[in-house]
Amino acid sequence: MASPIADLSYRSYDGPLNPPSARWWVIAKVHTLKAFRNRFYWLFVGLSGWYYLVILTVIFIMQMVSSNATDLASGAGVTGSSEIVRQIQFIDRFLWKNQFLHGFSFGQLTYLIIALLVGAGAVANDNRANALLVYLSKPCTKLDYVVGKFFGVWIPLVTAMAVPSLVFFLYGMMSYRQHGFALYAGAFPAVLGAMAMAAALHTSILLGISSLMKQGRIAGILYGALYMITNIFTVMILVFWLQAVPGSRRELGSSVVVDRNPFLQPAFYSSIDGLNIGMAKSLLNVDGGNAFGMPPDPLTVVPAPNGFAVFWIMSAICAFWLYIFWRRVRAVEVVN
Amino acid sequence: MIAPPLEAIASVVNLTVRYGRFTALQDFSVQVPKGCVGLLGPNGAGKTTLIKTLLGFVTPTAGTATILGHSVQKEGAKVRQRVGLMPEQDCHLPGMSAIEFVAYAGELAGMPQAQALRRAHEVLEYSGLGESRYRKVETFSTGMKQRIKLAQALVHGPKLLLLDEPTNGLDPRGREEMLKLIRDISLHKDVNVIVSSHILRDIEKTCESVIVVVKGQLKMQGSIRDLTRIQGHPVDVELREPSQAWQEAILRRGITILSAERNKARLQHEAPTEITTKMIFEAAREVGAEVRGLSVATKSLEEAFLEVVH
Repeated sequence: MASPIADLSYRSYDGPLNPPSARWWVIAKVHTLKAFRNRFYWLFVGLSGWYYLVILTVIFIMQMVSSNATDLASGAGVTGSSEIVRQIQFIDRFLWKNQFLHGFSFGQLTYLIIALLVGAGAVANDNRANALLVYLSKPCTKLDYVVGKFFGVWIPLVTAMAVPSLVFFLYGMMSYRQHGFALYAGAFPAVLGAMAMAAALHTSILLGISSLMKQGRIAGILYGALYMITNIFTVMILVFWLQAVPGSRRELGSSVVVDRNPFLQPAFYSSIDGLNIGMAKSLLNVDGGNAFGMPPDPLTVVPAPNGFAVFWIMSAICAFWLYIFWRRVRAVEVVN
Repeated sequence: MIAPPLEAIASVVNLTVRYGRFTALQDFSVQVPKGCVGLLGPNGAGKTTLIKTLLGFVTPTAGTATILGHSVQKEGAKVRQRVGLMPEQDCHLPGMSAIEFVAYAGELAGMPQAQALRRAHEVLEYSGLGESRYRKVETFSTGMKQRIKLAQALVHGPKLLLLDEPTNGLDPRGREEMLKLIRDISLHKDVNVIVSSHILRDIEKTCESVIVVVKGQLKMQGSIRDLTRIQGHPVDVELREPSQAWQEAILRRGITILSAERNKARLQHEAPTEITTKMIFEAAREVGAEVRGLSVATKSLEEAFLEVVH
């Protein structure tokens, strides 16, 4: 009787084989497609754009109100109606660059969740399943594995960050050109740059932690804890920032200046979230404010940090965690 | 006539591998012939280290190795593209179904995506996992995990397959099926195979030749037939029933009876086997005994292995 595992249709493979180079792309592609097939990924991509949704809704309502008020005022021949209408021309007060910043800033928590979803188990699960033996027994080098895993997390993450901003950008270009949106069209590539850096930071730290673990969940918990602890620190610094020390407020001509501790500003950006927002502020060349269309108040916003400093700090952090990841990539445990 | 040397699929020259102070392989040299070769040795002998070194997982302290004409140290990627590894321990890619895993392994080896998927179906069918191809690998039993390790090693059509303890954890039926599969791969699929195993019966059933490694050094290399051959070419004879008269007739012909038990005897004579055989039949005819079986006596591989190791 023929063995149940005998299959006479099987033949040796003599088909094409690509040269053993750039295997990293295969790894990155498979990881990216795996992320894109996850429905929760798209759920959080949608949620990450909540600020844009809110601001577009607010603009829409205010435009409706403005339009009705204009009709009513002109119809009734009310004196000073133009003043009333101008005051409710809410949209003209918008600083569009800031909206990209806020869209990015308010999405930070969902970016964290997406990063955990895509990257927490990227290496830890491989460690648990001895998957490195599979990767490294193929014509795939340690560098291919590291680069492939990096882009396998980075691409879905940067896509998740970019999609809502892209939608807002396209909608803005179509609908708010007459309100000055086109003047700030350069804000979109700038915020994309910030997103690329933010995704690289998330990816590097997450892969570094994941490479030290054998359980994706544990890696995720550790990264979440690191993110939250540093974020709480940033919030505490913001509280100090907003509480002006008595006697620090000075009148300077027509404006008011508050003297603050020089360490407060860099300390505010000393977190994963802070670095990401700091980089976005630097690239967009804004300080923040005007969230939800509120009037800008320079005293409540923390000024943008030095862009180069933030860039190098982020690069150094990425390099450190990627080095840890690199060191952990071994097909076999070698006891020295 | 001098037989031409066997064409070597892999060549290892003066290879030394150290893990800190421990020397796993010491000045190890071997020419691995084509076909199915067994890698034998006690625990810690250096078998797995040799496989890992051939794949570039471990950097040797000294020496060189080539596989299919490519230097392991300098052309590691090329070597791995032509070699398939079935590791000893469980390994898979988490979260993937069998078909995704094997197709991915094919793509990693350099196969175009469509070819990898087509071939994955074929290899899974061949390995006996055709009906489980859409199941997650994590849910597989030990036997199925062994098969999928073989499938991912085979998918890209390697010219050399390295099997590290391929029957680990398999039940007797699964083991038989796996051995049959290995035999089929080496005999009919034009794939050279190196099987590392502690189980000598597995080696005996699948391989034509063996390499014996002891304490990081090559202890013996050759065909299983040579290894199990007994010095002096004794012959095992089985009679229909025990016969004292036949034994006496044998002794009269100058043949030595090495051992005799009931109706079986092991005989040795300095003459060539053909002549000895003729004399055995003559003795049987003389006393009216009936010869039921006659074969050149061999050792079991286990006996041969123990002789080499001790």
